[in-house]
Amino acid sequence: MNRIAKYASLGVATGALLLGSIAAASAADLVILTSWTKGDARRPALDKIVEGFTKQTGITVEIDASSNEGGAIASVYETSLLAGKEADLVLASLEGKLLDWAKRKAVVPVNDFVAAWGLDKTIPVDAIADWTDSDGHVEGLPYLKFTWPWWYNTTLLKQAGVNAVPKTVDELIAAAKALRKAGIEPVTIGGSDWSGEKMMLQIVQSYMPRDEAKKVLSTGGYCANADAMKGVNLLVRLRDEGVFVDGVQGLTSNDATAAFMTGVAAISSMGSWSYKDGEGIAASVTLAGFPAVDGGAYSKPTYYTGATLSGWFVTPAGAKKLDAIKKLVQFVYAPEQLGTLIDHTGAIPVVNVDPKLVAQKAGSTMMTKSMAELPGTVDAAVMPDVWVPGPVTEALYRATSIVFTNGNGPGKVCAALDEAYKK
Amino acid sequence: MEKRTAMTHTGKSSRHSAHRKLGGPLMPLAHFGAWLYVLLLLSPLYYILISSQKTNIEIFRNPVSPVGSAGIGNYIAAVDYANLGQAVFNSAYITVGAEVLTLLLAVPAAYGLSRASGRLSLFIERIFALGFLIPGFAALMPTALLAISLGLFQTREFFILFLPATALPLTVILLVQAMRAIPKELEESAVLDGASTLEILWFIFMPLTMPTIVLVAIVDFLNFWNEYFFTLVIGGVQVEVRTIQVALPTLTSAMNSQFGILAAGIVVSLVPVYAVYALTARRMEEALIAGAVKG
Amino acid sequence: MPDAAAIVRPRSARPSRRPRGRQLSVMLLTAPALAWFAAFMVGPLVALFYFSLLDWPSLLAPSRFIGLGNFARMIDDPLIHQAAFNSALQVGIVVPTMLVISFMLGYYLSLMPPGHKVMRAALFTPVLLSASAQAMVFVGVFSPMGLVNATLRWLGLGMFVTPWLSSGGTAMACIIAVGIWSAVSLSTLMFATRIANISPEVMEASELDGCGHWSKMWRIAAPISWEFAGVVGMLQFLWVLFGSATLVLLLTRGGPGNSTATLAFLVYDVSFNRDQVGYGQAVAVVLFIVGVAGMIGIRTLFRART
Repeated sequence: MNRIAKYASLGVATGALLLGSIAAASAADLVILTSWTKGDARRPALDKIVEGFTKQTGITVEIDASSNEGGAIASVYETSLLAGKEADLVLASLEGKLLDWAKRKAVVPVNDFVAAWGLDKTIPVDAIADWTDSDGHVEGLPYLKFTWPWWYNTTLLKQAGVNAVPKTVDELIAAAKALRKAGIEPVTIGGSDWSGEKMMLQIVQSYMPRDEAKKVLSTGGYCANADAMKGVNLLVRLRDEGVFVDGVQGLTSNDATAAFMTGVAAISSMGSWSYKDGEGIAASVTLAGFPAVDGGAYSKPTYYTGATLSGWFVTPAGAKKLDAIKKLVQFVYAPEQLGTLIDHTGAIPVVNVDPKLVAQKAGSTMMTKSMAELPGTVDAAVMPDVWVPGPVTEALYRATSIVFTNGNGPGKVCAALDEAYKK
Repeated sequence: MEKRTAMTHTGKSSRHSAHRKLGGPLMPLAHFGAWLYVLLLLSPLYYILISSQKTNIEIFRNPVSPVGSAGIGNYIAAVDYANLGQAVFNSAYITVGAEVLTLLLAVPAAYGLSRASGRLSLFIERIFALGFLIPGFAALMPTALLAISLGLFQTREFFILFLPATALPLTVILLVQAMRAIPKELEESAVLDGASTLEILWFIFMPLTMPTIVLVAIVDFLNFWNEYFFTLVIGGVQVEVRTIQVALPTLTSAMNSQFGILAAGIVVSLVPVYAVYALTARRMEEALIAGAVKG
Repeated sequence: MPDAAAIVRPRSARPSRRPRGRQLSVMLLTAPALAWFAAFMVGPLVALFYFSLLDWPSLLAPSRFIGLGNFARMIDDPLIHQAAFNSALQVGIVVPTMLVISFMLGYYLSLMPPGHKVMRAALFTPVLLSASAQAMVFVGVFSPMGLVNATLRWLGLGMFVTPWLSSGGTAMACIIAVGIWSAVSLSTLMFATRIANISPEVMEASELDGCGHWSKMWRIAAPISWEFAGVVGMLQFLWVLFGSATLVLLLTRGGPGNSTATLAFLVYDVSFNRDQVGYGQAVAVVLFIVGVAGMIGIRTLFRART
């Protein structure tokens, strides 16, 4: 066995020596790791912006994209950090594990940079608030926001004899019944994934004041909270009255989007990233929210909005290149570059850009509608992604199917939600 | 079975044909069952093929329908978006390198184990079996640390070295089984003729176990080609080093998935695999027939 | 049966005494592979056991030594119980079913029936499909609009149409079905190479006795392949037990609720999604032990009858 051991150590040592030099460092001055893959509509705009930046400053930039399937970008980044080979900037959504990055020193809080780089007047305060963790770290620079309304296909509603977008829960139930009678699917959603989870939590928080909703979303305890239970009862009632399509618990967001976009289902809830794909049926669509309830926390229908869709994280490696990063950041927030970004991509910057310009640039009727129809007519519900802790996120997605399955009563529904929070 | 002396080469092809005789009352049932399973095996490939020329909406509304409207566009997008050329090269580099190394290590080892007696060989076989007992996801972090300490993090070369270690358990165990079935007498007569250990391996054992060698080679090849999570996290996502499996998911994005383009990319990624199969499968067929004749 | 027993050479009958030098040279052949294997596997193996003793939330967080605390916690964790049950169910159904089907198919394939080349190529499909491809395919098969439901409607069995992956019972059944689908293929190829190795004389002799394929398969081929079946069974046992992580991840991500979580999936889920790396590694240690126990069990079972 001695000879074997000798052989082994010799082999490994030679191998390491031979190959140790192969590991190549990136040739670019700045490296960005992003979830904006080539399949992402915003990616060509980003490439163009970065190209312009290099032309102007001479600073070269490499963009590495990782699929974020199952939150993979967190694993990719955290491991590279361990190896001391992390990118300088990360451009990604603030969700899941990324919520803890500042606390775990995986990224450098940008608290001081916002003012130093002259962004305090550009980035709205509420966007910064979305990006601030419970320790007061601003985790990154908010870049893009989203709106996430309910979509109503009024042509289909009319076919079913419903002449107005439902304003109350009773009207919603009545509309669903009429739609079913007309052979049209009512509310469709990915009842087995993140899209269904958002809809379920939107309905569940109907009776909860914002602070209470934040507390329950972050710590659980749905069964024990009277207001949350009112919301759960509401959801169960809607479900049992047939508001959601049959088998909704098995659908994915892709199924739901396809069903709505092809006029098979009349109602859904989709984010602003879908505006571009909605062009085909834009003439039939009215954007609104989930109806407000009597004695509820909101006086208007609710939708989601938030500044967490995309933002720039500064990494420890990046902290050593702050001059270059400052230049890049100032460049990407400049109005002209934001113009490139919103051009036909469906992106909405967090900075205060003239809504008309956004709508016009987007080249999308749906974007124009969202800018015109949403403000003033809807209230923003508490966005779960900012409050649901990273380790709970996946478990809540998995609870979604149970919640949307007929026959599961309020007790079972709230228990499924609470189960997700168990350590 | 002792009579199976390949060295005598009596070459009775009549035995071979007798072996192949098909008949009996249950045979139609066997044909039916086997082909039903083949159908089940091929349907995913058919599904990917039809999806590769569909739009996203067509895939989700009519997954079963063979008609699509995206045409060749998905393929162009796939190749262009994901730099598939570079990705295929990276995958081929890693896969071929790892495959050669695997066989260089595993074939002599299996030969040694199959010829060695009793306890020690059994013990070594069990050591290899340990490889099956480490859940992949649990090994990820230690392996990443190893790559970092070797200075091979985010390189392709790490996988050429690492992947053979993951393939050794299966490769060695199956080859040992195959080599044990070779009669002792063959080796003993060769030793009497003055053949060296390596000559015996090369001229007797390898030809006789060729079907198994080809089988494990193909399986290892496919496993290397398809490795995803380790190459994603340890290999990294840079275009220069990323493999085809890391490149493919970038064809779709979290919010707006584009499964048609992804399917087209998958089809592209299968082309080199089929080329390799076509080459090796012939070898396996020949070996199988040769083995049967020699028997 | 007696002729079969006479044909199978008992292992112990092998000449075990050899020249000492040759023995050593033969053992040296295994040294490189062993060294290679050790270089890449010892690390993970040691880490597995060490990390399982830590309270360690995530890669970037500090860790604390808690001894056997993770294992104590497992005893009362209903999630672990559920996953252990699911794993047992999965292995208990997939492995025996797979062994019988793939042995029969392997025998069939060894007869080189018409189209056997196509068949052999098709049998590589489950290994051929990458994670991306599998994810796509499973959606196409099991989604509400997918292949299974379309087939049911086509057969006039519309009342059985259901969202397969979204209720606990059917979701686990899907995972088991896909497990069998995938396990049979490679095992068939392995059995086929083994059965092709059986001496034609043996087969011929039994033909003269008037045996059909059915009795040849079970009375001649089966006893000869018995030990090899043990190897295939062991391999598939481990693959099913450990490979379920990927399968569950792609099909259901453990849902709905935790109804399809298996032990191997929990190693992933607990470490990566729930921020409890130490606990995840403790589950991995349990899997390791279950794996060893299963291997010994299968070996004993398949050795006892030779």
